[in-house]
Amino acid sequence: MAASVVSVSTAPPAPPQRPRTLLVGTAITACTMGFAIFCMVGLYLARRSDVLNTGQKWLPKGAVIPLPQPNMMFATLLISCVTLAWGAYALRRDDRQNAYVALGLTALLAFAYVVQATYLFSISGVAVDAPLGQGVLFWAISGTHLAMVLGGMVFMLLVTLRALFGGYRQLPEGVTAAAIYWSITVGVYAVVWYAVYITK
Amino acid sequence: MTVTESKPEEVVPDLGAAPAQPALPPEPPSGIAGVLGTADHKTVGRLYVGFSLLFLAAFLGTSTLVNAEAVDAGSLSVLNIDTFFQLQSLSQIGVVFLGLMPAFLGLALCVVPLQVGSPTVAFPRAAAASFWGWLLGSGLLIAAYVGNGGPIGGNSDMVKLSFVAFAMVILSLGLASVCVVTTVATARTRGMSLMRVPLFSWSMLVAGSMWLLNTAALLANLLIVYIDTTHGQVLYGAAANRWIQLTWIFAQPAVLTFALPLLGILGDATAVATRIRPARYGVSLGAIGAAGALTFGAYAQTAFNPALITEALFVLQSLVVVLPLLALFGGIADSVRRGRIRPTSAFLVSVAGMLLLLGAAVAGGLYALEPLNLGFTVWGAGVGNAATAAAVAGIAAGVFHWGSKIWGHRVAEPLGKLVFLAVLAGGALYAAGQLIAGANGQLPVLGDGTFDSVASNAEFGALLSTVGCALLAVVTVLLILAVLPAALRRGPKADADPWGGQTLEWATSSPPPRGNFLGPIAEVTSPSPLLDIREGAAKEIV
Repeated sequence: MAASVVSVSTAPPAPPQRPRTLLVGTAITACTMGFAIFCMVGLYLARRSDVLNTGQKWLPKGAVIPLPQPNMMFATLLISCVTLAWGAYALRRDDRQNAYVALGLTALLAFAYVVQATYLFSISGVAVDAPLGQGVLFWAISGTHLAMVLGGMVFMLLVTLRALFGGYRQLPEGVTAAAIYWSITVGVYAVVWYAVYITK
Repeated sequence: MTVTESKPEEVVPDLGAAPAQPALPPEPPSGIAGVLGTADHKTVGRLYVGFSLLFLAAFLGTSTLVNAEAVDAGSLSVLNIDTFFQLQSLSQIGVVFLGLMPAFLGLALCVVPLQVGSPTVAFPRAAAASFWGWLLGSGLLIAAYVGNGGPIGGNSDMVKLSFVAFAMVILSLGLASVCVVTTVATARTRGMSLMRVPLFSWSMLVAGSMWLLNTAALLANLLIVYIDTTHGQVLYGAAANRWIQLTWIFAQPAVLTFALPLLGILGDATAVATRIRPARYGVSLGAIGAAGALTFGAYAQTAFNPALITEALFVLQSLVVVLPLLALFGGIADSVRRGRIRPTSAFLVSVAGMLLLLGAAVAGGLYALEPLNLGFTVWGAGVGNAATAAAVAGIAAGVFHWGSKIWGHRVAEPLGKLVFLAVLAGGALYAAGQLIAGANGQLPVLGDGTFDSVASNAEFGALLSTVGCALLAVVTVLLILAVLPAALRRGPKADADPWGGQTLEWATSSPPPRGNFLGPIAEVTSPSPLLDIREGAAKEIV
């Protein structure tokens, strides 16, 4: 019966292992960031539609969004998804050599994306203060996504360092969480790529 | 059967046997260092609740002043135009983002890990960082307004600072929401499936998710406004356009989101008050989930699409949201009918809140009906006022229900009856005033500080709203007075389970020890694990 026997458990229990916490927390955070960018894309499309309906051109005079750079950026991100998944797989199997190669390649591809993005921004010629509000929306979307990518790179750097020092030998959830974040980042870029860079 | 306890006089229910746990981390520092450097979810939650109650009282007072200006129809009398609009936007931001949301998150940070049987919150250091970020952002926001900032302020540097500070507040609250949502999603004890999660934790899972979605959209608006404000003020950042792009978060359906945790608090308080096992638990969970989904409002930005309030999705959503609320209220009424009712303060106040929320949902449905011509009148503000009052009631009910558990000393329960009367009357008046004026066609204050086409009864409506808002401010002050002795660790110590609770937070001492539970927790087999234990013990005696 209750309250009849008393144990002398003075030490509180330590936290149990919760392997999904980092994965779920990362997924929620990345989805929220992605949703914020989707909202901006929605405003971009609505504004573009309004401007086109009045018979005006959408891109301001002198602005150009070439196709090769956005396409290469997309391809770079897609390949980096594969290399990151490779790294997580290798860590799960405690294959450190493959893990190092895969995580190093991912970091290189992410850096390549940043270089391509900054080059695209430098040649696009879209002024922030473009008269119909195009510049604000363009820079808000592309800048926020670049920030999301940079956040993912920092996240990957941290988990790679932990992997280097053996922190994920038994439990590679940090790398898996980074892979989830990165995959969502790439998914968000797919929308930005189509809505902003392709259809212009 | 084994029983765990912390002190000889405080026996807590038996939670059964489980494997031995590894050693604990070292003791955290005490005193000021313990507060500043803490990652303990209970301390962070207490800090959130304490500061947000102070902010809530202050900004409901500010809102009272803004409402009082409309009593003299025709023009502004006390405040000049700039100050009026500054205070109007500040009080709206302050009530929601410095008061309601952080107060609920503070309660959740304290209570949710206990309810789900977790020794801590998910990402405890992120939760602590969220509090300090929120506090710093709140201070910067107020400072920016004082320096003539805010969306329509005259000092451009302070305007930019106010946007940065507002974004900081939103990001911090988002971080806290992630911690709470992740805790419910992943840190539940053995046997506690989502179908067995306590209603408050479930409501925080739903509310936290919706808050993340709605505030992510708000953050997107804020970023666009900020960029344009700093680069030419072409369109989005033009002074006349800034604030109007952000106001959708204070209008239906998004505004209803801020009262969602009330639904869970009502459910938990009802189980305690009626002393019976909740019936049709899945229906209650479904109703809270559906209500949450129907408060998604990121798309309802009338600044970009004024005709939206006549579109089918908006109308349907506005009409349907009342259904899950009615389903939940019906379940509560059924429990009251079947049980032996004990009118605790938490139960009474949460019922008052539920009535106000139902009122908000019904008024929101009427707002969406085009033939009634309520669109863009102050009727919409009435819907927001009712939802705000419901959220205030939710916070009050939560504090009366879990206050003793959070602070370890008894919260002044008799004040709860006074709070019940004040919140019901205040909330009803606060909403009714605007609804009456809106029904008579009253439009909001114009940009030059005058009122366009002052409707009959507008002054009377404004007077009612002013009195109602003042009463809600009084409610918050009463709440602070009720909590203060417990927060200062004065007065009688609280029992581990003063209510005969059914969920896991009542199975540990008040306040809970480090690690929350003194012993391991047995597998949960129903939404009312402590009731299971009591009924099991009663069968053993028989």
